[in-house]
Amino acid sequence: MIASWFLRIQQQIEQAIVGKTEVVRQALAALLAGGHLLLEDVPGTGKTTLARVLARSLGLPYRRAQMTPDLLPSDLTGVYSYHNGEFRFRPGPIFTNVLLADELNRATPKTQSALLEAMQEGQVTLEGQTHSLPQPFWVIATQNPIEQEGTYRLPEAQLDRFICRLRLHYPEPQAEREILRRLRSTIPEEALQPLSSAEEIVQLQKQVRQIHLEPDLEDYLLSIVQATRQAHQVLLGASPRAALALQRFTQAQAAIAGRDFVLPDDIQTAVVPVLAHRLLLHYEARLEGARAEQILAEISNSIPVPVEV
Amino acid sequence: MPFSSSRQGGSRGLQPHWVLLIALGSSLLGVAAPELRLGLLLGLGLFVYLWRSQYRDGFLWFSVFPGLLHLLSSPASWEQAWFNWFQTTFLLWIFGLLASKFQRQERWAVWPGLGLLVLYPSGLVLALLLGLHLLWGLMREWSLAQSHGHRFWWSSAGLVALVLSGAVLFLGFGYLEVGWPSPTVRMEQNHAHETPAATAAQEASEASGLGVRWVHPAGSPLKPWLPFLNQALDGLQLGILLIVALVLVLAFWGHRARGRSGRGSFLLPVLAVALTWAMLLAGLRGSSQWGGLAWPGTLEQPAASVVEWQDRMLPPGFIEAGYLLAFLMALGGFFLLLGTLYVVFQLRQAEQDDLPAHLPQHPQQTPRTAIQDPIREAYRTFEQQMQHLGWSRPPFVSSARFAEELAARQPQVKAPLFRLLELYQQVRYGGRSLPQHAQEARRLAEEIPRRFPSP
Repeated sequence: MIASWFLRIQQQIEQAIVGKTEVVRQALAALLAGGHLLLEDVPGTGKTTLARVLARSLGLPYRRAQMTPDLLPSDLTGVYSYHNGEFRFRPGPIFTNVLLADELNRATPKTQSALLEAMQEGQVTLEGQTHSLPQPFWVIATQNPIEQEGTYRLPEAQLDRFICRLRLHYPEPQAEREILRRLRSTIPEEALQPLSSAEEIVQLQKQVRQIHLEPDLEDYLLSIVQATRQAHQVLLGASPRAALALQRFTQAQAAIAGRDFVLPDDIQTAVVPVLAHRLLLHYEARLEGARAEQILAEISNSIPVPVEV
Repeated sequence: MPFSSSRQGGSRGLQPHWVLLIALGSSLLGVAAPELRLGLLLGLGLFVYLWRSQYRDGFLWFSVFPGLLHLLSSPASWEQAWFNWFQTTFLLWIFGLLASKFQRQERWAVWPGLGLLVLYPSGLVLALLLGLHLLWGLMREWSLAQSHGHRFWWSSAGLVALVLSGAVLFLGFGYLEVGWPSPTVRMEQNHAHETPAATAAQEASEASGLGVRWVHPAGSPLKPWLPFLNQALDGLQLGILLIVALVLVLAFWGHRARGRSGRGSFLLPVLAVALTWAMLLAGLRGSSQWGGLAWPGTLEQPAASVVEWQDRMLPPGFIEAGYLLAFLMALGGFFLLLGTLYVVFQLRQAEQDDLPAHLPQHPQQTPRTAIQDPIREAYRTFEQQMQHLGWSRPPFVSSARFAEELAARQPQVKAPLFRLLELYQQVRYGGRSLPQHAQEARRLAEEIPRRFPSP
C-alpha cells in the first residue's frame, strides 16, 4: 500500500521536478517516518519548488514563512489579541500541515528555537496554554550553505530535530535541458492534483512503525551510530535521537520499496542523509578538509554487514 | 501575510553583531598606539576573511600573525618590535575572545597568553603556571580518552602541545636563575657591558639588589662552571627543538599514512601556536639588561613585594644553588619528556594492537551464525562457491550490492540470482521461514556459480 502510494505521488511530482527521483524518494521517506526535512543547497536548485510541489501533491494545507532576521517567534507561533473584552488566540503560520521555513538560517536563534517545541512535540505553548498542531505536521526548511553573511548557524539541538538533510545538487545536463523545455510555455506545478490527505498520511506513518527490523540489523545500525561518536575527527557524534531517526527512516525506505522488513542497504543509504548534518567535526578535521559525508562513508565501509559468512 | 519576500532585503543589511564587532574593532584601533594600528587593521581584515571562510572559528589560532608586521618592517629595535608584536597579538586576542560571544571561536589557542602575562615579575610563577597548563592539557587528553572509551589516547595535537609546553617549562626553569642567553645574545651582552651606560646600569641594578636574584651570574660561586652550564643548556634547547621538529614530521607522516590529502593545512594552527611559543621563548631568553631580545627592562623588575616574599621564603644560599638546581631540573625534565613520549607511543601501540586490524576504531560486529534455516545455508554455500571462483563478497558489502555486481558481470544469471537473493532476504532480514522454497534455493545456489567461468 505504501509503495503504491509512493509511486502515485512520485509520478506526479516528476512532472514538475525533473531528475530528482532519489531526493523525492528520501523526502517522502522523511514524511512517512514522521520527521522534518532540511533542504540545503545553493540558490536556484529547486529547494522551494520541491517543497511546494510536495505539499500540493500530498493535498496538505501549506504555509510558507520567509525566515528573516527581524522575524519574531510570535510571527510564527501566533499571538493573543484583545478583542471585545477578551483575549483571543490568533494562530500563526505554524498551524498548518506543511510549513516551509525558507532560509531558516537567516532567522535569529530565538526564532529558530520557537520551532523546537513544534518540531519535537507537535504543539506550541503560548502564555501557558498548549495548542496542538494539526497532524501530520511537517516542517520543510531550506538553507543556503554558501552565503554566510547575515546567517545564524542552526544550533545542534535544532539540527538534531531534522530527520534528514537532503541536497539537490545541480541537475544533469540532460535533465536541465528537459527543465528548459517543460517550463518554456507551461507551469507544470499548476497542473498538480492533491493525491493524498492528512488522514491517509497519518495512517501510513503508523504502518511504517510496524516494519520489521532484524536484531542483527539493529546491532549494525547501532554500530554505525556509535562509531560516529568514536571517530577521531568528530567532536559531537550522533545522538540517541539520531539512532531513532535512522531506524525510522530506514523503516520508511523499506516501506516505500514495498517491503515489510529493513535491509542493510536501507541503513547504508540512510546514513548520510540522516546523520551527516548532526555531526560536529573537530576544528583540525575541518582544516584537513574532512566532511561529515566522507567520514560516514568511511564508517559504513568499515563495519561488516550482517550476512552469512 | 507578514512573511513576504519583501523583508528579505533587510536580512542582507548590517547585522547587529557586525555593528558591535565594528564598534569593538574601532575602539581597539582608537585606544591602540598609532604604530600598532596597521597590524590591528590587518588582524581585523583577517577576522573578516576567516569569518567568510570555512575556518570561521579559527581566528584566535591565526591572530599571532598580523603582529609579525612589526618584525618585518624596519623597527627601531628588536626589543620595540617584539613588544609591538606582543601588544598587537594581545589586543587581537581580546577582540577574538569578545567576538566569540557571537560566533564560536577556538579559544584554547590563547592559553600561551597566560605565559605572556606572568613573564614578570617572577619566572618561578611562570614555571608554575606553565606546569599547570601542562597538567591541564594532560587532564583534558585523559578525559577525552575516557569519554571515547579508550584507556589512553593522545592526539597528535596533544603531543605537540605537550612537547611545546615542556620545552617552555624547561626554558622557564632556566630563566629562573641562569638567564642563559644564546651565544649571539651573549656576544651582544658582552659588548653591551663594555659601554659605560651598560656598566652603570648593571651597577645600579646590583646596588638595588634586584638584578642579583634574576640574572647576575657574576657574583655566583658557580661562575667557573657557567660556560659549561650554558653550553649544556644550549644543547638541551637544541634537543627540545629537534623533538618538536620530529613530532611535527611524525604527525605529518601519520596524517599521510591515514590516507589524508597532504595539503598540510592542518599544520597551520600548530605552526601558529609554535610561533607564539617561540616568541615567548624570545621574551624569556633575554632582557634589556642583558641586551637580549626582550621588552623594556622596566617591566622585568620584580615588584618589591615579590622580593620581600623571596627574602622571607627562600633560605640563604638558595639563589646561588639555583644555578645547579635549574640545570638539574631542566636535565631531569628533558629525560622526563623523553620518557613520557616513549610511554605515550607504547600505550598507543598497545591499544591499537588490542583492536581488530581491519577495524581500528569501531566496535567489531560479531556475525550471527545461527543458520539452521536451509535457505540461509543455501546462500552461504552459494557465497562459498563464488569465493572459490574468485568472486568473494567484501565484509562491508551487502548481499544485494554483491548480487548487483555479479549480475553486472554475468547478466545471464540476473534472474536466478535475484530470486535467490529475494528468498534469502525474506528469511535473513524478514524473520520468515520458507521451508517450501528450500529446495529451490539449494538448486539456485548450485546452478548460479556454474554459469561463472572457472578461475
